[in-house]
Amino acid sequence: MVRRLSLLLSALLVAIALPVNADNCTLRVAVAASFRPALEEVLPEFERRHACVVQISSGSSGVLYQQIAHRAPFDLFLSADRERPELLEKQGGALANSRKTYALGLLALWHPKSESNIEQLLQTWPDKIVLADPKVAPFGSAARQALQSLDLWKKKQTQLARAHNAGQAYLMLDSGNAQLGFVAASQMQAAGRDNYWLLPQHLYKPIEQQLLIPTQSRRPKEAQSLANYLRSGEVQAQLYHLGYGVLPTQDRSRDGGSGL
Amino acid sequence: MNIATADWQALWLTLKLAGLTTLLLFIIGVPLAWKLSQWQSRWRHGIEVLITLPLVLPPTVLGFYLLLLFSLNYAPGQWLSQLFDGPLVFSFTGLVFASVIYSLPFMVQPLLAAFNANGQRLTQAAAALGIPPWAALLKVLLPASRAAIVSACALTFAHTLGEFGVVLMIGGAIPGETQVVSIALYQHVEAMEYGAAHRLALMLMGITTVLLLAARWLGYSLAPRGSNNEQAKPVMGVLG
Repeated sequence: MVRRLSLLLSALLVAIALPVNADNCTLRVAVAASFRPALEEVLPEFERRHACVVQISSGSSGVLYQQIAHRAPFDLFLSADRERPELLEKQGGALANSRKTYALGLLALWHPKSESNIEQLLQTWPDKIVLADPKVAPFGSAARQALQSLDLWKKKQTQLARAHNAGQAYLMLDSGNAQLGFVAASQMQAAGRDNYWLLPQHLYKPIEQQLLIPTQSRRPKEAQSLANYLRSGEVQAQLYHLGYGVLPTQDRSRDGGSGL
Repeated sequence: MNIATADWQALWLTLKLAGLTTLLLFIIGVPLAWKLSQWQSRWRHGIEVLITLPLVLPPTVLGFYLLLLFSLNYAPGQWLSQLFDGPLVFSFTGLVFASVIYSLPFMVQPLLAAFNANGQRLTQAAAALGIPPWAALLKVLLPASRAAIVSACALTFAHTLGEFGVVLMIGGAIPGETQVVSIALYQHVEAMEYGAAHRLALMLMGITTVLLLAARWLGYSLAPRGSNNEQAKPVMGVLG
């Protein structure tokens, strides 16, 4: 028994004393839940090139913002909106000039399969219409703007059911608890569904998703590499196929590879 | 201390939901706990575990399964929507339905403990006097379990008051219909309206503190003096 214990203890000591690999690079990324699937899609290539392991924490942009504002140890923050990175920057929580747009969300309307005239369908729809919470979710406020542009916001007020975020709005529709609602085009693409209408982009303000490097980042250099990679032409082309919009060219850094 | 109308509405809705859930669970819980305490079978443990499941499952997961249960794509959801005259999702009725499942263990456990402690003895005594079982429950056992009933109701009420994950999944945050305090609070925090969040949280804490203190006092004053009513005390201990 004693011998076993001493063996165990020495094994433990050896494990502790083993030198930590000096260029063992771990990058901690806080990402808005809605972007997580896309990020996981494009990460392996980055990890291969930079010999860096990326640790993903996902959650709602609001919660992640809170955590980072309170010095949570993240190296890169990928928000689903523009507002929170701006706020963090204003509060001095971001490295200078690290705030950049990395993706453009596209608003989609999930509708029953057999529809031809979607706008008319929206006008006459008698049931619940699902949308993400306009107060906190970027896709929710885009849905509100679109409804306002179509002059339906006031008229449909009593029919609106607010999901907490785009992910939950999708679940409401996918589970058959509602037949009409606003989701992200990227969700529909990811699920391989085609029963959606891409809302014309003049109906709502662009859903800019921004990233930044928090001041507490321990690996600002690698974080900057990941940011550049995400904004590079090759990743942007992939994102386009995953249901994201095309970034305006002045928004794209020149250090990020070829254009689209 | 000015609180927006929507927040008052949320408070009132929450109290209504908790009150109605407690009432319904009392009506369901008493016969259920009594039958269980009378039952001598191997199945009993299985049923008891089933009743405690809502304690174990994360509320959001419970909400997710309720979402599937309510779905009009499948037979149970269609049947439920006929029964309740409309789909249960996004509706107050749906919240009550969910809360009854969510708070079930909080009603049944204290009652079961009380009935297990006194049930056999009292019902046998009643039977010896020629009192039929249901009358024995109503006239003898329930009055003897007063303290446990109060604490079961208080726990159920309090638990439902703080319900969040389930409502987040099936409610839709519709003002006056499904936007309860916990949801309104969360929305305030998410929208960075911290002042409003603090005010609402304070209100909720004030109301619950008063209610729980009242329940405690009621529980103690109802506990029969000098009887072996020890089972009531640990349960009340949860409340304070």
